[in-house]
Amino acid sequence: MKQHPDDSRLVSLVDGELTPEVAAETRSHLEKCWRCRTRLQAFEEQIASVARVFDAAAFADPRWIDRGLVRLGVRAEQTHQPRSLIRGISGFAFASLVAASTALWFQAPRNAEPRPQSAVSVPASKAVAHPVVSVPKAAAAPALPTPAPAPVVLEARIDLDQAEVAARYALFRIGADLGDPVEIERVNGRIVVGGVIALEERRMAVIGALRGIPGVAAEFDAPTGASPIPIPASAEVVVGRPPEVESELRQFLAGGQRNALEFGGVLIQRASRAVDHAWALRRLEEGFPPVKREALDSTSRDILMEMAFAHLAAVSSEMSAFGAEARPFFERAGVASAGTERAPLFQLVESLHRNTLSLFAAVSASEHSDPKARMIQILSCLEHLGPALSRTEQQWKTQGAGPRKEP
Amino acid sequence: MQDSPNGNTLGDLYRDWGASLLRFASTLATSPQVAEDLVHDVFLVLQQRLATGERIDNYRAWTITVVRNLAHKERRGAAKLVEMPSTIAAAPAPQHEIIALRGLLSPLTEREQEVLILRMESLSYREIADELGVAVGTVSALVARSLAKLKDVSRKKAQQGGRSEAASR
Repeated sequence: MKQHPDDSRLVSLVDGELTPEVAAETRSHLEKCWRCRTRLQAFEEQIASVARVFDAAAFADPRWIDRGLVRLGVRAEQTHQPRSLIRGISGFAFASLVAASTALWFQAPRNAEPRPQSAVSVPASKAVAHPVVSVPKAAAAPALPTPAPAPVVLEARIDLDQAEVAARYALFRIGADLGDPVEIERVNGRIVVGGVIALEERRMAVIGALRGIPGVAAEFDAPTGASPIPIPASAEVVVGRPPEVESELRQFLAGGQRNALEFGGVLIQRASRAVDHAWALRRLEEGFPPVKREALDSTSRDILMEMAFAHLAAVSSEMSAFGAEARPFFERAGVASAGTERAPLFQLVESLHRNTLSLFAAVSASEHSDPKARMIQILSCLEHLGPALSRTEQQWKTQGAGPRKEP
Repeated sequence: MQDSPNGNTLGDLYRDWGASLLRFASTLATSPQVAEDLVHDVFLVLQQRLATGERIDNYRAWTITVVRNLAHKERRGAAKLVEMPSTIAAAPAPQHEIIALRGLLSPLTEREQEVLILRMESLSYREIADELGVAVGTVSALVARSLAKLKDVSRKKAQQGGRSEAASR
């Protein structure tokens, strides 16, 4: 073969889809041609990496098959245990906890504040034994959106706190506790999860995730009119406009305003993700203050802790990436952070998010706002994040692990 | 129990192919629950077809066709699926993993996604071509193009990662 085989032929060779003659011809070309061998190898690597993601998404639990067979009437009953809410800590959350605890923390703050060794560490008890949580028998209750055709085992009293934790966990599993306008209320002795989700696919996913949780109803609407687009908080401090900071910003980014915007886009995304997680954590804290947490059964408490630590880990990793990306840049622009009070984690993250939005609005629109003041705010938030994360983590650890009430 | 064309029972087919079909359906459906309902409906239809003595030569390809059709209908809101009776206990769906898979495939066109998924489900190019109503040559071109696209995306991501690492130094 004189000509190099095209991509399609290389892939067909890997897939065993060539006729023996063409395959032999292609192979003999590959023996002689380094370039084509490298291309072939690249395809094989890509196939392997797609296969990894694909294999991970397998419905490997045999209960799926049992369930399907029972439903088809091929099998009479299930031999496996009832529905398990979490297989230990879900792999994803666990991985993010470990990743966050090993992630590099911000470079040493210039203030003398001691640097936390790890922002969020896996609680020893969780790392050792992953609790296998299963909902008690009474959990096999009517499906969600449709009214129960036959009240099966509903005489068992539904523990509302437990139901709320289960609902929050279902939302958490599909990331619907981040940014989706979802409200959780208690109405007439049951948990009603509702809100307005514009995208139908998303709405169905949320309803689907909540389906089958006892004592939980989903009431979602499609949007009726145009919803107002939230406008980022405007700059609070208006102190004229120091052009030197702006030009410094642009100079540092070498490529002018476009690069500044690109860089800003990354930071804004990180800040947004972090603030979403901080909000989710705050909702957990408000929904389940320490006293209420202590009164929960151990299963619900473990689930609550899993969610809280996953959110903490996410805030931590987004913020450490933010710190790594932004800090040297701000230092070049000649800003030194000023001290702030001991703000709670949520306030710090939110303030950082707001200031990031304002900063980049200021730089891109050159409006009357003070980029330097924004940068100082951001830096000081970053410097106080470590201690705030540790404090919050500590609070969850101690307040989550009170006397245990078994279900 | 009804015999399948291969001499297997419906239960055997489900055990052999059900989990793969569920994953395939999950990449198309709006939620894991809908995917499960889709798969259930497909096997229900298969059960009925077999009961009437219909011959289905390649049940894997056949079920894929029906899942695809149902999923497209369901997305348009046209399909009425049999809802899961809530008294049957479920295992946890690999939701994060499914989301990751959908995320991985997202840079591809719908056609490319379908080809890649079907190939991953071990269908031959001929089976994929029949399923999608295209030529075998088109399938190999689509597989090659989607792999090249994914490679490109991951290379760009790696470069971005490298840039932000460099920026932090």
